[in-house]
Amino acid sequence: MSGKLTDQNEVLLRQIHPNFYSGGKPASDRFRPQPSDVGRMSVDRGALTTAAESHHLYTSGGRASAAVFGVSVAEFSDEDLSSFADPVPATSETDPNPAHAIVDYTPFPEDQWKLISKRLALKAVKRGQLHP
Amino acid sequence: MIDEKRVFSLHYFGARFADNRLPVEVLPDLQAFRELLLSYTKDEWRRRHPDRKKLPKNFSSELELALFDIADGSAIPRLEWRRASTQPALFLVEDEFDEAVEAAYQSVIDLIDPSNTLTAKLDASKISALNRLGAALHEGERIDFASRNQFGKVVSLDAKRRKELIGEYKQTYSSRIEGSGELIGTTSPSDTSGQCYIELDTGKFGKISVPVDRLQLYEDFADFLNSEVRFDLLVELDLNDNFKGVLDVFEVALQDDPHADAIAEARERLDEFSRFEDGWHDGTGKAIERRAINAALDFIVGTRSLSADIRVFPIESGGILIDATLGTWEYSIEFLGSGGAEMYGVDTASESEMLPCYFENVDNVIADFVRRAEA
Repeated sequence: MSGKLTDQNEVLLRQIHPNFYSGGKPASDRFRPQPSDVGRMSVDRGALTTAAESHHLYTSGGRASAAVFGVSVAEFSDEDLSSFADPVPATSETDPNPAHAIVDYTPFPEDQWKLISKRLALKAVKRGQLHP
Repeated sequence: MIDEKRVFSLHYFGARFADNRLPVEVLPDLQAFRELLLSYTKDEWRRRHPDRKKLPKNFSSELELALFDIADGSAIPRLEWRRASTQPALFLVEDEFDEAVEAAYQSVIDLIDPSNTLTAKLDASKISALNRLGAALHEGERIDFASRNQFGKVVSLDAKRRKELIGEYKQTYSSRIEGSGELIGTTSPSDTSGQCYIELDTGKFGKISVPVDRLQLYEDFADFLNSEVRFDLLVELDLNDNFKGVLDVFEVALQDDPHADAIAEARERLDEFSRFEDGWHDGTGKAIERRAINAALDFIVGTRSLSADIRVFPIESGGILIDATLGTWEYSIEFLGSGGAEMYGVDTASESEMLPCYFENVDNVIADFVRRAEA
């Protein structure tokens, strides 16, 4: 985890797996860390990539994504959540992802993540699906 | 030629009876009325002939009662009675049968009259007839009977009075009920001569078993669990209106459900999720628990009439998430593998929020969700 993201207008991109996408909307739990995320939710930085490029990189590694939605740094900040750049280097199996970032939920107990995610999902839906 | 002195008029009151219309559902009342009248006629004959141990032969068929007119008011079926034959030996004087029938009619009036505190012992035939007379009356409907003596008293039989009367003699009474319920199960014994049943969750009357034909069960119901079924039944209720059993089935059929497509879509997704194995989400994600799937489906079916916009998702820990838009509120209900559920929500029109609230079973979640919808 490196530098904290400070551009409040920057939109952070979130991939939505097909199982978590219905009726043109993402599941409301997609904007909080899952059990394997150890409190840090992965996103891609809109300042360094586009929704389409982010989606391509994500799915080219064999993972599925039905849609890309976005939440701004300011909207995370409104929830007292900090975002950090977290570029991922290339491995023998994956391309590098210099746009990768994480949102840190660890200051809050897990039982508070649900409503945070709910509010963020509403903002993401209001912004609209960014890709495809 | 109608003999007005031999005409009985039953005055039906209620919206269903406007414009002198008599729904066919109440026609069994007329037969029940005849049986009640006949039973009292027999009593009157016995009173007049205490020395006779048996009724004259063919006494029961002697009283013929025929519907010949439905007068306006709201609906007044007019019944004329006649003797089937003239048996000179049946009565000592010519007019005795007429007098016995008139006395019997007054006994019917006295029976229904709530101010008559002298409770007469009713035999089985009267209780049986009473249990059918007015069984199809709805709330707010009644049948008025006018006395033909010099006082002309009018007494009313409605659902409440029926229950009072029958309740004095037995612990249950019959009532015709119409409504709809969710199809929650079917029973078809391996013995092909055995009676088949469908189980309905009716809400008001709880879970009831309705006998159906074996062919009807397979053709109409077997593939439609959780669908809405319309019923029209004669049932036995206890005096607290608890369902005791089905006496007769007039109609039982799948009902057009405006929410059927949404339910089918949700069921399809749940079926898909039920096949997930561990690692279903890019290597993570536990297999979805059957209890969570069943509870989610129960919730969707149980709340469909609220017309909430519902979206169904798996949860990586093995549960089911339902996101539901209800008015300005966005709710999430997480159904857990334990069978419990957690609900929380956000009001998009205000700062209001519902903090995560745990429910031990799906019935409680449904009740709370319905309460919120109706608030």
